[in-house]
Amino acid sequence: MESVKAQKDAGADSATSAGSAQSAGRPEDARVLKQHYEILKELAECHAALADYDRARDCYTQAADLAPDEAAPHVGMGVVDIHSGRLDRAERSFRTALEIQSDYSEAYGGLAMIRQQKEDYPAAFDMYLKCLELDTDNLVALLGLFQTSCQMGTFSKVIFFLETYLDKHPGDTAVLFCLATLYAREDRLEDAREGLLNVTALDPANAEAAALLAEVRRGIEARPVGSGASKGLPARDGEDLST
Amino acid sequence: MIRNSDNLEHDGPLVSLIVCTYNRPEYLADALGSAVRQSWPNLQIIVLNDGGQDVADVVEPLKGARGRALNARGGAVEPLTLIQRQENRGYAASLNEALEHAEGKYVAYLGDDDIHYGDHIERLVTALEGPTDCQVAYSNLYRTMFRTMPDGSRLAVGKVLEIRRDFERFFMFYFNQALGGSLMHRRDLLEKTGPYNEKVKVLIDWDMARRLSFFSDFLHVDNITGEYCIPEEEVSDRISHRMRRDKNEFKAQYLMIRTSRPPKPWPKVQDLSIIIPAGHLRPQIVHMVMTVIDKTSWPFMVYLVLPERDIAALSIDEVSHIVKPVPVAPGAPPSAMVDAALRECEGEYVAIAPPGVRLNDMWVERPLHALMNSAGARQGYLLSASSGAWGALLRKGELAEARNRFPALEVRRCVEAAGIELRRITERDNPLVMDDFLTTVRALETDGDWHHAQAMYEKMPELCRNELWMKDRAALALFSKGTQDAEALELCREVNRRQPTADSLLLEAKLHRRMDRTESAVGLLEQAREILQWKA
Repeated sequence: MESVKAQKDAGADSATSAGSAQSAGRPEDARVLKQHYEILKELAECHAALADYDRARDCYTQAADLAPDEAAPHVGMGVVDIHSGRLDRAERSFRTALEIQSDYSEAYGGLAMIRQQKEDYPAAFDMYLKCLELDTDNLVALLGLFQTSCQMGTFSKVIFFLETYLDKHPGDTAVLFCLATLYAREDRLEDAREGLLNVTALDPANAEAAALLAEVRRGIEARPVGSGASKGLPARDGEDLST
Repeated sequence: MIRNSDNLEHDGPLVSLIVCTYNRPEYLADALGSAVRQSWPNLQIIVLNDGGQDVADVVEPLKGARGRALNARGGAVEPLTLIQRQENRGYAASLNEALEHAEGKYVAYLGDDDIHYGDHIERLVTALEGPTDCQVAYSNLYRTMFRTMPDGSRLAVGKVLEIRRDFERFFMFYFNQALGGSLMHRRDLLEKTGPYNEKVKVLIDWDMARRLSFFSDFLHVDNITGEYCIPEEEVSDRISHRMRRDKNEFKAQYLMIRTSRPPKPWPKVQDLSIIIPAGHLRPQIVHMVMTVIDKTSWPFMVYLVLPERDIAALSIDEVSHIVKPVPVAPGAPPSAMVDAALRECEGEYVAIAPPGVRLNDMWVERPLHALMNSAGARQGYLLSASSGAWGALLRKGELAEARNRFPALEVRRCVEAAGIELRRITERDNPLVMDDFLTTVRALETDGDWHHAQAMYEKMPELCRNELWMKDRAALALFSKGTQDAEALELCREVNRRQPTADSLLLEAKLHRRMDRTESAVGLLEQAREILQWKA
């Protein structure tokens, strides 16, 4: 019924001249079309943060139904499923997210976490790398890559991503500490010392960093005068470098 | 209190609620469900089926849902009437036919796919029956975008509060600010406005609201009392689509609305006479007349001063209702042309607009707004013009008096001699200051300049009211700024205490999350979710 529709248009669109306040609201339509979705997603994230995973999953499911073109709810479901220990279902959710959006870094991050939990470290490493290639700012993936590297004993790629991350977040002491640890393992003791000095300056109460710094200093002092790089610090017995 | 012989009584006036429908029975059920649940007891619901599929099965079951209604004489009125017309005659004709059956002191409207909340009628009647001179009121409506689910039910994907602006007559002449579904007016006002214009096929409610505003101020009831609903697939700018389909037809309709002049007297509108001392007819003059018509939103008449023989050659049929040719002798000087027009024109304000006057948007509304708000006598405003041209906006009485006193002087000298001070408009002389403000502030938001955006939102209520709306926007700006969450939260809380919306609750929830108060955020999001539930 053209005329009835026109009645509605009158309120929204009747000013055809430029500069109308209400027609200026039209570009917001795209946002409003996602409003219910956004509320459900936000609610799901809150429930997840409160460890109420059933409710979180329920909200993510409703959000996904409302916006089938959005990958985020599937990633949310995957994360919730990981927390609930349902790794196979989580994997399906992350893969669904990637079908919707193939460059969704967090979905790769989720798949990496699953691989890591299943102790498939090479696959986890590759997934973390994919995630970081798409988003070098992803701290969770960065730390996951660090852990996986430690578990696999290969560090060169993770050093690159840690350095890239620190270019953007120079005050992140957790990442600084990880990087310093790796420098130490790679016998880059001066770099390690510099990093640890930064950590202890930013976080004087960080006993772990202080201990490692003392160890690095001893390593530097123990080098023969005029010698090149020594072998670096061995991993301490039982030490988990991934902390 | 109204009481009739059956001992029925009501405390308040009868309201006639008009629902015109065409082939949407599935939505009509929701609309009528919301109508019969109105808390206002004295209600006459008139459903007019505009030649669409039979809706008796939707309407009949609701007939017992309301008690009897009483008209002003105490006569019983059917609370729910169905008029089934076989012929499809369009919305305006349907409204007129339904109104013939209306007996209420007030009239309200409901779209056949829209809904009113239970207090819609009550809030509007209460406002109009209160201490006000207004004979028209409107409330806030959500614009609800919905998805039709496989079982035919509707799911709201978003609800945005859009019709929430305080009444401003300049704006009403420029743009509709009260949807039909939010409007209530005294029925007897239709005797002054005339019926719905059945030639108008688009912007039908603006046409009526605009005409109503000649006779009454509009009372803004700042409560959300309903929803007008749009399927999500139709959310894009439908009128623009229609314009692209038939731009000329749309322009003709738009022109018809913008230039309609209900019969005088107009208690709330002072007429504007635009004098074009053309001298002789040439193509540029016709173009100028059409530009004046296109660029002027305040009600006006054009007085086109031409020699008699040029008038005979003039072809302006489509705008003849607002262009009055005024004959003068060939070669008459400009002052004689103005004098000839002045004898004819009815407006309280006169714009002398010779060729050379710049006809931008709001070219005459800015000085008109300034002059209307200027308390002092003997003042006028210069119109922006190219060099060599001179135009001005004046009060007709003062100009006529000046011409009488100094008939030998050219108009400009005569105005000066009469002591009329001609001012230039400033940036502040702007009837649509709020619209310019919103345009500016949205550009700031787009640029990410939340600091200045927030400052502007805080300043705006001083200039153009709409306090709660501006607080809502300021809270968003502060949130986006990211450094003043406590202030943003305070504003959000105030907004949500007074008029929570899905958007404002979502914003407050985000602030709580940012402050690690996740449980508080959950409560707010549940409220937002509740708002998004289908309300019918």
